[in-house]
Amino acid sequence: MSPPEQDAPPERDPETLALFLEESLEALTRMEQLLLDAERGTRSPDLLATLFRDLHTIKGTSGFLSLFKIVALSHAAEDFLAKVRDDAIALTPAHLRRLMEVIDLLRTLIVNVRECGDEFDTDVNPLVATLRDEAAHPPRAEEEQQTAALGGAPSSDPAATTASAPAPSGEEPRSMSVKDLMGGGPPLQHGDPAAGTVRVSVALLDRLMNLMGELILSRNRIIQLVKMHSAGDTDSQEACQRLRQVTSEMQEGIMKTRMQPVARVFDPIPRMVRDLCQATGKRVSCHVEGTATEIDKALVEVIRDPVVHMVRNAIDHGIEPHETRLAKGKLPVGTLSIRAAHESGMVKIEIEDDGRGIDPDKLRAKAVEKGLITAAEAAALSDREALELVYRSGFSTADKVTEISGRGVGMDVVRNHVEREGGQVELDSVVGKGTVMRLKMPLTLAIIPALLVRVGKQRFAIPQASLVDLVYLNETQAATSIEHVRDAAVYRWRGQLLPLVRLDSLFKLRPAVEGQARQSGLLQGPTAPPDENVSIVVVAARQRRYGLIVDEIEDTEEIVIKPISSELRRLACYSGATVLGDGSVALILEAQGIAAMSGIDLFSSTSRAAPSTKGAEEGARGQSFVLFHAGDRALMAVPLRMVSRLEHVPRAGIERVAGAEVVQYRGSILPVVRPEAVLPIGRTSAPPSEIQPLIVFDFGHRVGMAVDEILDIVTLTLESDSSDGSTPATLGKAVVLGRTALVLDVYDIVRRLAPQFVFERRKGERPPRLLVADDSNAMRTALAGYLRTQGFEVHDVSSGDDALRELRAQRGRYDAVVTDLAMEGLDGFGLIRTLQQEQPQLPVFAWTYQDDVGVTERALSVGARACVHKLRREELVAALQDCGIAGGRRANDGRRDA
Amino acid sequence: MKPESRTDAPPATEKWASFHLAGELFALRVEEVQEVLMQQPITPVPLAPDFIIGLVNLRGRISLAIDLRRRLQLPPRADGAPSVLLVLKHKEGLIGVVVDEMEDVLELPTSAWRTPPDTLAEEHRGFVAGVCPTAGRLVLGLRTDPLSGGEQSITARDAAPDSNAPPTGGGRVAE
Repeated sequence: MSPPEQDAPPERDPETLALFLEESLEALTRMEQLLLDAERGTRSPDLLATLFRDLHTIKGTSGFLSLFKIVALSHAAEDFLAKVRDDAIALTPAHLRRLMEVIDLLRTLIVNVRECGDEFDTDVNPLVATLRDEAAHPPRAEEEQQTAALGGAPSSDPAATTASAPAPSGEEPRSMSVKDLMGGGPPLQHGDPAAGTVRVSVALLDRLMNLMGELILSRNRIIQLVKMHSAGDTDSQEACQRLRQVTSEMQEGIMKTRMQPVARVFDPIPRMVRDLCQATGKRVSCHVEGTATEIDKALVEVIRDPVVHMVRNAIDHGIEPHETRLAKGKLPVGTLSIRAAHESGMVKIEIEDDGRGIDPDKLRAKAVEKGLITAAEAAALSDREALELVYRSGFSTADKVTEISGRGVGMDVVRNHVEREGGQVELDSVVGKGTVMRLKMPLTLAIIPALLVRVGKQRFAIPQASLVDLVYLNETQAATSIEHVRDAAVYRWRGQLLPLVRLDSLFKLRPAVEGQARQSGLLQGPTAPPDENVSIVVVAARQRRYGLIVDEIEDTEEIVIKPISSELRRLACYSGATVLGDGSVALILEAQGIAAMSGIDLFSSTSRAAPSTKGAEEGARGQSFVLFHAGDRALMAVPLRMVSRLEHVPRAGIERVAGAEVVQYRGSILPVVRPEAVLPIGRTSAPPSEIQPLIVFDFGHRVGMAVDEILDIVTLTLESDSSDGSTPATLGKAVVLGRTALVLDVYDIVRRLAPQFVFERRKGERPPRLLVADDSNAMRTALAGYLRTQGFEVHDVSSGDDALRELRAQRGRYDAVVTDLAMEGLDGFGLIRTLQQEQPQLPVFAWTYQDDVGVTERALSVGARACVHKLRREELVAALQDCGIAGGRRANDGRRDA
Repeated sequence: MKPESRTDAPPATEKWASFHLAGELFALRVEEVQEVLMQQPITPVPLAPDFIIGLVNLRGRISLAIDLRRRLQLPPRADGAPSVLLVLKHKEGLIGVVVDEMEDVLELPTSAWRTPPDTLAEEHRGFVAGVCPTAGRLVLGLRTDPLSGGEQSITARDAAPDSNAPPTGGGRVAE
């Protein structure tokens, strides 16, 4: 191509221009980083070489594109560097600053071109003149000597940037000798740094991504058709398997092409920190980690604003001026750490400062002042909940209230922005110690695993990311375990009360028979429909968990998110739509929107996730207990989560059989224990009444505890624990209504009094080891967790191939295998078949969503011991037991009927 | 605008796709119509405004399907009565519009359009751009853009559509 004519308006090839803009901005970021490093004494051996190469490339391409100001400036800068190199003089801090100016001006020009198509009247001449001038006047010799001596010293901490306000007097100016800077490499003879790579336009990548989406939909469709029409045909099955495999590998590949390191966002941060420090006079040391962590290109843009916002907040409002820090006994230089890492399929970014932290009291006061909550509400908020106030809209549009204002500014916007793209924001702060913000983003946007559920005749998709658990209750369980708090239905789940939302009511899909009283989907009154199995999908919206009642839980499927019309975007309960395997359209549900529509307060913590460790759970405040009298009017409590039911039975019904008390209960024999038999409390002095209150527990077999009077369900804080063994069978004490209640260790009492009804392991016997294979994280974790509670030792892997590898490596280690059937790569059938040949002794159990006799038969035909539906975990335990693999052994089983 | 009923020069014409809806003849510019489809499975969208029937899969693209009778507040279609899905090119991509039955493509002189009569029901005004008398019938010309929006509909303040640009009326928010 010939050079463009001077007077003609430049005709720039848009593709070349786009490439130039992208390359140059990258190059500027790279150069800036190196200059910043050099400024703080960590010089890169490639500094000069990189500067030369990048400036040269910018000069060359901009000339080609008739961007003459960029040409002039990069040319002058190149000459300036050449002089430095040829004279072997040192780069002084002044030089570095000058080069930084060059970078800034180049960036302005390039951004002008990008945004407006031209360089505009930005004047480069003064800087070009300065560069020429300085190149012509090398620094004095003494300075050169001094810099040569200092230059080579590497920084003690290469990861730390100490940006500070203009250096106090007495600090030596630093620079590096050119020999160090050159790093020995020839500066200009660098080959194409991207040998072996090609540049591809983003538009093409986007198109490939869309096509990939279509391909996945077609794959799903074909697999479904084969399932329907040629289920028995092995050839079709194999072709499908191959199609599945190739598509997922291709998907992975295409995803990878779209991945970019978070460096694109992180790289400008040290510079920003430096500038902010200069502006505020603060001193902050900035650590950046994990810049190579990759995330989908589209999401890089999504995280940019929140990250910049948080860094700005941390310096503006978090980190104190250094006098204040000194006065508080902190290190005078504040620390800001920015970390990125992959964590369970998400990218996690943390921004942590050691500043003043956020004072929950100030937040409370301010929220009251703004009229967002009442004083009483404010007082009732825990510190954690108070912290959530910063996200309330209206909170952050604050006028300047020093110390806290800035921290809240725009936090609601930040969070909404992030959540809209499927991410999460968390804030943690300790007054006086600092603040940490956590940002979690999915790796990619467009294709996600989702659970399909059916409500009425319609199918909906729930993104796997918001799934917590799946619960299936049969009629009896549903009738007993769905309870009502005021008017709302709740289900007791892992020690929390989950609010339940009936999707059919919320979506008005239920025939009008139910009456029209239900405005929201929250179950009103005692209306849990009788005679019905209930499927609950436990979802998380922010910190909050709740249950969605659906008619049927189907399978998980990879879905391609498609945008929906703007008219529908106003419905907060949907985040998009997708095309399913059968070609039909399904709406994608948005857990947060549904919570909001159902009146579940996302800011409230009444059912926030309890800490998962046992100790923490026992001691967690706000735990509910059943309070009762037993023995000689002793006040006692048992944790509500252990209680299966509260009952009243006729006293006359309690019989003594073989020295133990039992009562007929729901068609079986319920053993009855009395706490006074174990505890040092007097025998009951209550006058015998006709009715005996019972607290029923379930340890795999029900046991009733006879008490005098059930008083209340209360929230208690366990005060002391009696692990010293001074009082047997208690967990500790708690004060309630001015009296001390003994908190019972129910398990211990029942073990002492009715050992035959508690799963117990013989001494020295090891728990059975299970290997669980499932490619769904949520499913696998949920199952493994459940099996552990049933006394199994569980190791889990995410694919059939991993399972096989583990089983081959650890032959004989496992007692049984539980595998999902549909997995990428080696699927469940393949795994079972292979194990059948290699380790025929090892029992394998299939678990699946498919409630299909064909699937069950096929699993059994290849050698599975049993095939269990994923929602019926108890059946899995029963099936394991039938094969002699029991998590807990029922000591002395035979005595039950004695 | 005065009708120029008979001139010697051949009148400029435009092609309009016409269709029946509750006994009336409506029309849309042919270039706005992508295709006409028979029965398509439509996924209902709970809680959406009632004129939205749901979402339809048009070769992998998910589009809104709206019931034009409901949109124009015409009496509902009898159960089992025939209907077709008219796929329109819309500002947001494709949109499906369910109508009763397709009629011909009409070639209508651009000069023949009239301002909708004042007697036109208020709720139609935002959608009807003009009225064109043809042999024995009145054709109501529709705008596509306001069809999908729920909150905003635009009143036909301007006179007849001009020959090229799709009719875009002055904005008056209806609700």
